[in-house]
Amino acid sequence: MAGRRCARTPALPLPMPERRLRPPAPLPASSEPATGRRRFLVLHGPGIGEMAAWALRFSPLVGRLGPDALLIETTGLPEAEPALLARVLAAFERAGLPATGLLGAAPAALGALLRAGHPSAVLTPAEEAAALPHLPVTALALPPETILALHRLGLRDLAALEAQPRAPLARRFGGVLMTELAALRGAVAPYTPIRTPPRHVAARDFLEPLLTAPALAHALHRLVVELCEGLNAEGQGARVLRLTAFRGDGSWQELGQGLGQASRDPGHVERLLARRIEELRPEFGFERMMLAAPVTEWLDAQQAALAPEAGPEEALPQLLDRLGQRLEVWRLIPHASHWPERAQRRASPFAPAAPFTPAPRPLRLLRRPLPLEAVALLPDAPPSLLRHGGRAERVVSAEGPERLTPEWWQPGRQAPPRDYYRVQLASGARWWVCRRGEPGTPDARWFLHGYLC
Amino acid sequence: MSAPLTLPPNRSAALARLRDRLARLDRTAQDRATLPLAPEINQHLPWGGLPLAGLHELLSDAPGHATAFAALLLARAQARLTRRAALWIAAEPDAYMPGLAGLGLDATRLFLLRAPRQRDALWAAEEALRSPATAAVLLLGARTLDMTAARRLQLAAETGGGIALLLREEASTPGPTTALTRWRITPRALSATPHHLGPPAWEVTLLRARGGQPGTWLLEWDQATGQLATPAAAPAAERRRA
Repeated sequence: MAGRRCARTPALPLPMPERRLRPPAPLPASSEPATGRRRFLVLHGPGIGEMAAWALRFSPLVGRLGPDALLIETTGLPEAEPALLARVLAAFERAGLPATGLLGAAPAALGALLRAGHPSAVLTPAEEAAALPHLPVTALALPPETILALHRLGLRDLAALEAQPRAPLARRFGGVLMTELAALRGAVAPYTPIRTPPRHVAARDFLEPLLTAPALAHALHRLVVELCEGLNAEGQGARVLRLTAFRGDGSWQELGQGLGQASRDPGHVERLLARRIEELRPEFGFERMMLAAPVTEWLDAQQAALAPEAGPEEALPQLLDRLGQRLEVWRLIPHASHWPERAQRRASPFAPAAPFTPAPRPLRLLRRPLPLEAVALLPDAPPSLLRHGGRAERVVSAEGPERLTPEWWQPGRQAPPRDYYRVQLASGARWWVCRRGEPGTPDARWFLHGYLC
Repeated sequence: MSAPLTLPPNRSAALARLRDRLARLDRTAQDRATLPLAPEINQHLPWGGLPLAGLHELLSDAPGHATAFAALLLARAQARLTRRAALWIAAEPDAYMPGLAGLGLDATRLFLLRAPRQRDALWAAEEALRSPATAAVLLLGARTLDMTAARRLQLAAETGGGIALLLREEASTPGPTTALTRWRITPRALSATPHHLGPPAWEVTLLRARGGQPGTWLLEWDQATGQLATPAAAPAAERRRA
């Protein structure tokens, strides 16, 4: 009985002939043509190409079309297109760079129309197609000699050009003209955004420009919370943060902040950024702030709330991040060299660590060895008296010498050999002293190179 | 605390009550984790060892003298608080790991900080001590440290649970301190023969301990066992009260 019950698959709906599933009703066809899906705003004005980074405040995808034109991709922006165009133009006007702008589907066509003197407008694909035939050839993005040759042939505008058979045109003028003609008719020419758009951005506009540190801190707090929520939803942690603050007069300021370990902890991120607030210079106030995480990493979800304090595993990278903001922090890693000052190297605190092999070496190695005067019974005997800075130190016992010769396989290292002694002074201190040069020669000199234990 | 205290006629009872209250306020009097030193010193100290979560001052009269002792304490703190890191803060950190590894210091859990200004060094030490990721902070070359700064370090160490070591190169004993203990470390050549240095040895003087008595010991470090011990050969006359 039990076997039969297991064998029967429970609760599967049997297809009934009269209740056959119907195929879903077809979706209503999209009213706009395929080329109309992506929308671009092309701006034209003298010197406007320099403002590409500033224009990132309107859309994350901005490209440069030469020194006098900008391309802003507006696909998917929530604002209504006429309002967006008016806002962008007003912002450029205030920034002291008056520009004309066209919002449409084919960037090449929009750029050409603007060069031909078209006033600012939002164009539907139909209007765009209607405006194109009257476009003079001089407005096209073509080399000057091609334009001259087209004029000689009597082809003055686009309608005349498009009426010609394509093959002779291509043979005569090459691929440049064909590409331009295709781009004008909506085959979108690829463009390179000035920055790859970050996946995680939080941005905020302010009615009143922000001037004071508390206001900035508050704005930062809300941006951080928003960004960290986005990161949390996707299971990511930020490795690099970029805070961009736009001033009212068209200038902007950017702060970059790296994190030693991927994090989406709002408290940590906010503490790191809050210390950078003093670097922000809101001359006439910031009217928009944008916090982006251009570099992110996968970060597994961790249980919070049971232990309010972060454990040592998370607290250490956070501490090193904070310390590294103000001071130089490093860790030491071994390096394969018997030359004392090269036997260890500085590494980033987040670099992989490696243990050292204990050696009879000093605990502190002086970066600049102190010159000593030594008295020895014989030229190659250990020192019996060391003088430094007017003080004489009697040597009670000495171990050595340990001769270190320079590494001949290292080019450009022609240092004389060194004889190291571990000496115990009568005062109790233990020094690591060395004689540089051959013993008995006049250029043999003594140095204190480190303190032993 | 703003209301004036009126002492009842029974003064000794009132004093005992006040002492009890102070002891409860002072978190250092509670049972806490300690670092072991030599057995004699452990017995002498009121905490049964050098307490973690506190500030300790090490004085020495020349550069390099007390580094070995401080590094030994760092290594013991690293061993006591596993999974925590040690920090070495100095104007020019010149720690040399091939030598320090011999004292048992773990290079994978040691970070060096360059802080040319004392303000930054104190800030970094405090920030690190507050964190639960720090086992020990060694601060070298702090000069003219005022009571406020020392108190801040002490409070930070109590928060994070690590040990704060302040290595000061001063020949004379500076003024009062808020540190739990203050030591003077003088290296001694105890068992040195002309061609053999022998194990490192120090004369360790406890100048001040909160709730404890001063004292002086001769200590020798045995590299083979990693233990600090008072050498058997040391004459009893050396053990005197400071």
